[in-house]
Amino acid sequence: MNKITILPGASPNLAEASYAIADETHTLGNALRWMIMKNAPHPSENKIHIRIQMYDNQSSLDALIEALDALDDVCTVIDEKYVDAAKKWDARHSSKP
Amino acid sequence: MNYRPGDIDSRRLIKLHKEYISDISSTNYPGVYPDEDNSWDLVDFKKHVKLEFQYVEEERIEFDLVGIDTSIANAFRRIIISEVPTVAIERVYVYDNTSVIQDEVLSHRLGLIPLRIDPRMLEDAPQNYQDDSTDRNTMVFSLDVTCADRDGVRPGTTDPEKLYINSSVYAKDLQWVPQGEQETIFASDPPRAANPNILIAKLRPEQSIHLEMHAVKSIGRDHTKFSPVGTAFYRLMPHIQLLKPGDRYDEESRKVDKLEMADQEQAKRFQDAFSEGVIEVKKERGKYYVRVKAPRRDNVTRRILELREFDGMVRLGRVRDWFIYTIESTGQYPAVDIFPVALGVFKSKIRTLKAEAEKLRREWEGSREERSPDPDKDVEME
Repeated sequence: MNKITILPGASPNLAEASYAIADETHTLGNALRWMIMKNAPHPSENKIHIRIQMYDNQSSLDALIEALDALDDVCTVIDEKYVDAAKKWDARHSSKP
Repeated sequence: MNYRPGDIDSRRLIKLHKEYISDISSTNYPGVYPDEDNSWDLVDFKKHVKLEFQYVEEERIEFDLVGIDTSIANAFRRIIISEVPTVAIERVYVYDNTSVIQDEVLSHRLGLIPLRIDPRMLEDAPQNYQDDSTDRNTMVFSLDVTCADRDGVRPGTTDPEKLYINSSVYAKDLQWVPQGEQETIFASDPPRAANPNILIAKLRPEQSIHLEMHAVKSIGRDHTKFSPVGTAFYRLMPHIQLLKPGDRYDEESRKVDKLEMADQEQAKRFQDAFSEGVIEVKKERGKYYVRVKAPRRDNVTRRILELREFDGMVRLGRVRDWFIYTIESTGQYPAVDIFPVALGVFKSKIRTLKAEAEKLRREWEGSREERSPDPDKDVEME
């Protein structure tokens, strides 16, 4: 089974399309939806559908991929901040016996 | 990280009223406010996102993460609970069990014992364990205990710990049985139960338990025993804005850092409407003032809104993008290591999906070229 498929009914230029993503939950789905909105009901099935409708006939698949890149950047930034904060904490508390 | 209530932009606030809560959803999307862009901006995000630890202990940490959307904060929380891998006992081979606990109940209990094994050192559990179990994906433990009478016990003793040997079986009785290369690889930090004092079973003389256990790596979504945390949750930073008397429709101009009280008793009543340590009472030139000292400590009971004498003097809320995470490890990882692993899991999800989405795009474009109609040709009527 494919990880991601386009559901029937998509426009040929992908300006409107629904995607089914296998083996993912709303953990990723909601974060992804938010990031796409920036440029659902509760899960019980191990599969998510994302509906994207674009203005000006732009491709929804491009928007999806762009959002995935941006989410990746978010993780990188937060990871850096986490490591910095941990170092700061250690520096402040290592002087104690 | 502390803050002045007045410094928080009201758009970042969820408002708590007497009977309801308003402004729950975020509005920082493009197209919500005229003349504002609000589209994704990595540089801006990097500049404004903040992370600071409140405390760090071996098994428990608390930190503030400010400036992200709930959907992302929640994804992190959910991944910590159910998708950060750990190692736990998955199969139990019972040679002998004459204790009062049934084999299946005992096996279940063994599965729930948190094991101190770095999951990063092990491969994922084999699909077919009968053929594919190796020293890279399986850890073996054994348990072999028999209860017996203890010699030389004083007559009249009733404490089973004194009367018998091995009357209680603890997690520390699990013996690691190294396989293949494991003995050298795990020599510096031998696999063991995270907490040696977990009670597994109780025995009486001549009862014994003898079994072999195979532990594998998996995630909490498969079975909760693989979850690395007891709890992982966040709460939103409470926000308490003091308001001086004046135009009730113009809160902006009424925001103050301290509020004058009629007397000491009233100041005390104001203070008591919040959790301990939240409100500070100060006496200046014979007058009593209240000031918000530590909003973080408030439970946001909304008691203050029930007191008529303070009507319109306080605006309660929570900061929508200020997450106070608490992560409690069950012992497989030091608590501080769990969040970065979760970030890694999230990233690998994103990358897997991105690779597949790009493949889909290539396929879609390929299929369109084959059957795309000539744009200059007239539409055929039927």
